[in-house]
Amino acid sequence: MGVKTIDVSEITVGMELAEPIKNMHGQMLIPEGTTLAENHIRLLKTWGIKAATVNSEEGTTQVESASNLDFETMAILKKRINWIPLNEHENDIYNLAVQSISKQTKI
Amino acid sequence: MDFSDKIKRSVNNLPTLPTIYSQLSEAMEDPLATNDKIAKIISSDQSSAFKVLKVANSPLYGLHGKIDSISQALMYLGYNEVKNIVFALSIMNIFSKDKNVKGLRPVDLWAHSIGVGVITRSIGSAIGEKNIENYFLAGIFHDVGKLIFLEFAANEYQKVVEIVKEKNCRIKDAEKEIFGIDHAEAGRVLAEKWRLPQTIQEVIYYHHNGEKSKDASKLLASVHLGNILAHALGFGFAGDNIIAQPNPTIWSTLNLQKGSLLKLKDKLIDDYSHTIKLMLT
Repeated sequence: MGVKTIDVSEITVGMELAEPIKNMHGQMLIPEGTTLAENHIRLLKTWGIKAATVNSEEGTTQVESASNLDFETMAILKKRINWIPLNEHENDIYNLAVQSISKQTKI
Repeated sequence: MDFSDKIKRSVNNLPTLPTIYSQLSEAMEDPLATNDKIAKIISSDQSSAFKVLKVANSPLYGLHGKIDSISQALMYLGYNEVKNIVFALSIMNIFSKDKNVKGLRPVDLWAHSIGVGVITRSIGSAIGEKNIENYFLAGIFHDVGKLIFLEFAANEYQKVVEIVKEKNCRIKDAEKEIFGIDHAEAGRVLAEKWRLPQTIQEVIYYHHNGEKSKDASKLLASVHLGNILAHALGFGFAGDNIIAQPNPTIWSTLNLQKGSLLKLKDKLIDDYSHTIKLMLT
């Protein structure tokens, strides 16, 4: 079993969080391992959370997990991409950006 | 004062297309014109001829140094592709390269545009499109509106660049704030004045949307994606750092195979670095 990051509109009851949901200040709102119920999903939308990482049968998607990236790359990436990849090509664009940015920060 | 009117008036003061280009178009439309005659027109302008040969031999076309005359270039690349190269090179001469705005140099803008040209063409071949002779030119030309702003309203464009920096927004939004129109609209005015092909006019005007109402154009979708990829790969600098999300409709228009974009990466970087060296020096 892997994990995948999905858009909040695709979250359904019964999915299990693979990573905690945090607000923009880094405070935890829902802990990892929570099985999402109807009211959780409503809260996610109220809080304006755009995406969540959940456990998935399909194996890990290719989006590099935030924890694998250095802090500097992550900060630049956040300024440049404010969307969630919704298909494999968008994953590729995301990863190309990550590679290009981390190359720049390492020089 | 209404800037959009000012810009439109200024565009009318831009020179018409260089004579070599109009002579070339005319000769190419003449069914009786020989290869030799067309080659002579290009060769009459030595600096164009020299650059056309350099570009024709670039890895972009995969002919690696095999082309040593203009007639060969015409034979291998086709009339339209050669005409497009001449055209792109002459546009680069029309706009001054020293209209510097702090934080946005014309040379970086050209590098971005050439990058989009290179990527757009590669996408065209990746999707098996047979008629890709306009792809490179469309990519190179998509941002021509920014050059118009730089040329005629450099002080105001300085403000645009500052807004982008302050708000971390897209340059087209800052342009709308200052000018009331963005570079897509400004570019269309020029494209109309120069009577560029309808497809190129549409690319200039719709490259942010990626689609034109219900029309699914592969060229337009390729430029739209090429522009986003150029931002992601850091090809040149076009005024902002935002990597936009593609219009979801382009995926079914292009029908790219899974993993194509990652596979293209090394070739794109290689072609890009070669082509900017050829065209910008």
